[in-house]
Amino acid sequence: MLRIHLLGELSLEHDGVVLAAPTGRPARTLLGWLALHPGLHPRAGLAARLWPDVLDSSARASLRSAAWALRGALGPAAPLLEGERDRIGLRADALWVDANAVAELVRGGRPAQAVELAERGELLPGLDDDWVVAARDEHRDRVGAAFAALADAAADPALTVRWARRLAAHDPLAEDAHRRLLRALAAAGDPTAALEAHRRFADRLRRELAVAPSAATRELAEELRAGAAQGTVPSTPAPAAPSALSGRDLELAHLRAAWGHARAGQGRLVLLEGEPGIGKTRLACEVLAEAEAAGARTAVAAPPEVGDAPLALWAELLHDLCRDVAPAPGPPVWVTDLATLSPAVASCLAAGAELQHHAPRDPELARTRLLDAIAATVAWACADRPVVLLLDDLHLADAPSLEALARVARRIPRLRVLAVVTRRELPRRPELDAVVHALATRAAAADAITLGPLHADAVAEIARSAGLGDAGDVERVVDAAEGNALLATASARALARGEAEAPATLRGAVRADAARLDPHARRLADLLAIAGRDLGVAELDALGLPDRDAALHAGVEAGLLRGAEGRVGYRHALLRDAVAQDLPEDRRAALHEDLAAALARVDAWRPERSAEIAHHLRAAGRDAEAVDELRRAAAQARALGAMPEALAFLAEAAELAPRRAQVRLEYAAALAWLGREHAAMEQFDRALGDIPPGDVAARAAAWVARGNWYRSSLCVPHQALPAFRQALGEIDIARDDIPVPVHIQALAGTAWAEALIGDVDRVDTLIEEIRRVAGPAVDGDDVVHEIGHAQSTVMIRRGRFTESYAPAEEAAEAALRVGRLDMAFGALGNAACAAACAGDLERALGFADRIERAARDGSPPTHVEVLATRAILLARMGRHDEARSEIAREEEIVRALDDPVLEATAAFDHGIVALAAGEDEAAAELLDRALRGGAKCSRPSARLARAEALARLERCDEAEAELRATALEPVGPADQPDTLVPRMARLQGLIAAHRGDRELAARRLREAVDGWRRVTGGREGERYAALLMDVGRLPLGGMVMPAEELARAEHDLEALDAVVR
Amino acid sequence: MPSFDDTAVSSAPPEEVWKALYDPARFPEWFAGVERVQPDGPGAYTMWPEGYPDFPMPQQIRSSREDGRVTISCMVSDLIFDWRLSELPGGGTQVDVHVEIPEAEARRLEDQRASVGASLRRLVELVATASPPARD
Repeated sequence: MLRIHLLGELSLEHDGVVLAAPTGRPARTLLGWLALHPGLHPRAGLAARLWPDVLDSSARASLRSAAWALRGALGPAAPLLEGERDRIGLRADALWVDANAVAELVRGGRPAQAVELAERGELLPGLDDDWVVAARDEHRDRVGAAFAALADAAADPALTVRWARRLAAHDPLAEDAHRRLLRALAAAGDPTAALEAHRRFADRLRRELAVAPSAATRELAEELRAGAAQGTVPSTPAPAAPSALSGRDLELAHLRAAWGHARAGQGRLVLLEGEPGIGKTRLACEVLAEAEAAGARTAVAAPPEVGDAPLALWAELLHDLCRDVAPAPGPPVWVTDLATLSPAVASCLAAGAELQHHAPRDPELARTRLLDAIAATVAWACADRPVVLLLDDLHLADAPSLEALARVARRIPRLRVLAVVTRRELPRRPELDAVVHALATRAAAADAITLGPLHADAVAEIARSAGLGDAGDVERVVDAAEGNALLATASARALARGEAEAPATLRGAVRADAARLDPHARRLADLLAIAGRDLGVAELDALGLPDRDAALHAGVEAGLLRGAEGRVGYRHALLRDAVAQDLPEDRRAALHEDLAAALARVDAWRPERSAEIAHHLRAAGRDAEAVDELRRAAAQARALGAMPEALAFLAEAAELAPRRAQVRLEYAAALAWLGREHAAMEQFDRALGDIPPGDVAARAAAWVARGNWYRSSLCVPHQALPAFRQALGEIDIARDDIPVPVHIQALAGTAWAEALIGDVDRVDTLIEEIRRVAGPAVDGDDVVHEIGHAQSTVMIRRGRFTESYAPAEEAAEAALRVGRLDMAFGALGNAACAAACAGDLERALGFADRIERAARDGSPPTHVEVLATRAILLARMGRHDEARSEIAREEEIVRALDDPVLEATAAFDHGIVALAAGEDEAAAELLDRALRGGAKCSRPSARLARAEALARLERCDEAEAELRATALEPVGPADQPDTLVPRMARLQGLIAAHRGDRELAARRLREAVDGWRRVTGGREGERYAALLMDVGRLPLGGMVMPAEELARAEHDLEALDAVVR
Repeated sequence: MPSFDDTAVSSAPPEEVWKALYDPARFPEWFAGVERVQPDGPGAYTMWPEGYPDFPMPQQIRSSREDGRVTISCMVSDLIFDWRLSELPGGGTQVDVHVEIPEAEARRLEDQRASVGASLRRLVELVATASPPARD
């Protein structure tokens, strides 16, 4: 690996050895450009770019000289400077460049790490070529965006100021950065420091550029000056005081009672339901305000009305909740998991510490871990003070958000949390009903309140509080409002303004209010209407609204808008909808375009915004640009484990870009993951058809991608193998054109599949080829893992279990080095099971111990899996007390996770351990609970185990019923079907023996013995390889050892007389 | 693809029929045309047809659940057999079989129908004989 530092002093390092940087300017220039642009590039273009002022022939000669000098400077790393007749470049797969790493970190939503890396210095100091200046500008903008992101995300005002100062120092002449600093200082309560900073900025502009600050900057400074004089700190306009709450005394009392319980540690969820405008949110906000005044922490969020980004509601809610939450010590693993959803919130909770996060490949596991992280974040937020959450308009929420609510709700009874959820009656959301019902019935911790129309007296009060004094006018409002608070307010305002009649509809009232706005205020109102949600200060800044604060004041005065906590939006969604509906099409498209551009500039670091940006681009008619945003939205959805949502984004992208093969390939991958095999194949074939036959690299990559669908958590080697073989076939056509990572993936995938189900003798050849292709990167952790995993699997398949240990350990160590606990778990878990197959249970336990040490810092579901493995191994070793202790630990973690399937699975594990210990009553009960609860286990095996427990208890009829039920269960390879018949026969023999039918018992037991003799044929490797393909759990719990079972059946036959007596 | 269905009732309980279906080594006892079988591991076996001792044919056996009934699928020669078992209210098992044959073998449809019918009847007789009398 060649590491190049372009930031600050130029430095080079090859495999840990420092190299002397080239001294000549041409070689340094060439190195700089090639490092920023890894891979091969046409010589002619490169020469022209680096030597633009000379003839082409001279430029090429200069390029040759520079390349020669550079090659000399690189020394042992010279082979990484690849040169062909027409192309030259640095090998991308063996290169790390600090400036490129900064860009990756910013794109990946890791601004803290980006700025730390960027601190080293200026990009390519000492060079002043045009391309260097342009690259430097790009780098500066990128780092500036990272500082801005950190400032926006900071929960502590002092931290906001710190990042704003860093941004201003980074780009000392940028007015945006300067204004951000002024606002941050003012918000932190130090307007004097803000004014001093402005003075210094103005001086610098005058000295260096001979210009004055812009009008926007000057106005901001004036505001600060006026505020400082009065002792107040205006930033965004103060929110309008909420109207008095009328006619909701009973409901308010109910909410206050719920809040009382929550404060005392008995959390509650209250669902407020009613028609639009009836006052649900107003009622909830009344309790929020009371709670906040008493020192509680509050947060509000609503699902975005555009974009459909999964879990955007929770990203918003946690952003609001954690603005002043203390960092979590450690930080714990759930903070790292949270980074997938909200890098900003995770960064705050980690106090800026670097988070090594690798989202699990399995979307199911990714979703489970993320939902746990969301619940853990809410629990952390109420550790130091009680919390009130308002989740507004949840009839609009996406399915993953409701799943997250269900996960949080399970913990609510034990937390100091009041969660208030509002929704309209339609559309019905059965998932939401289920959450409330479950919480109400399991813990009496939920209530539903339906808000009906207000009584006439209450409406009259609203009318009077809006300024109406005339009794006749008040009566007209009461008539028009029909008990609806929003309509009452709109009607009262209209009459108070002197209009002759109360508006017939809300839309009419809004139209009238909007018509009175000046152009700037109207533009703000229109943008907010199109946005479908509140906008933050940074977003409004990016929209470049002139006189933004005055526009907001006007909107507030018109009764349409409100501003609070740095966010601006409509008072009610109905008002927003009414304004949006009145927009003419051409104006609407232009607004969408402006919004898309603004959000892309400001919110690039917020993954959930991609869906929203795509929506606006499409609405603006910019379909081509929307495609890549849709792809990003899909990638984010996949990282969150929201596969149906990812599929929807990719379907849309594929429709917009029907000839872009890569889009269609991603669409096909999502279809494959969701089990829509036929559709996936169809899309794949279409994508392949769009790749030119001569583009071998793209075709090979497509086949590798397809192989990887089936190599992921789907684990279908029968499908993967033909795809990887096809990839290798393409690669054989034009090896030199294939990027090394693609070639390695094709070889590694083939090796994996051949090891599991194919020609196992071919695997060694494939591994040698991997080594050859990898070259200097052969010691890279990814390559080491692939090779070790393939070798380990081959040994297992051949039944040479003990020889699988060493390569499995190598694979696991490599995975742990890159933070891939899931991959390490797989490697060590297989080693543990291989050792069990070899009869070396101590060794198996040793492997399980190693996983457990790593899993302690991993996700709870992984830790649970490891504890189950240890328990079952200990039970097989006869160490029953220790096995019970591991089960107890497993069950404690599972109880905290509050997941019914995990609880059922833990019951299965406990049942197996109990059976081994001869605790037949407990085993029968636990295994029954496991089967009813949908435990992740082999159901036929679970039934046969229960039948054995029942048979031992001489509950013969029930045992026989279990055998019958076994025959009606589906059976797959992981159920070890060749073992089921002799197992069943043996149990039939035991049942017959207990019933005193010696002849039948002997016949059945002989059946069992004959069956086991057929099974024990040296195919343990094949059996275990089949188990490996059934993902979900380590198969240790259901593993059957034919030799042991044969011995048991023979023993039972011999002991038959004793049983009958 | 040409196909046909057949059904039979056995007095034996479902688990006895299931054991016969899931034990390829016993196919020669009831499955017409199968001379010898060698189990090859989970869900896999090699079959030698009657009269062809030198032509081993690797096969697969699987099962799935649909509409509350388990379907056991296996392939013998190029024919696909789906067996469905249902417990009968008064005891015993209904055995349904659905067979698909390749287009190229369509001319053998009637012969196969007769052969499978005979196999099905031998199966239900075999398991009835092997089963103990039903308990009151």
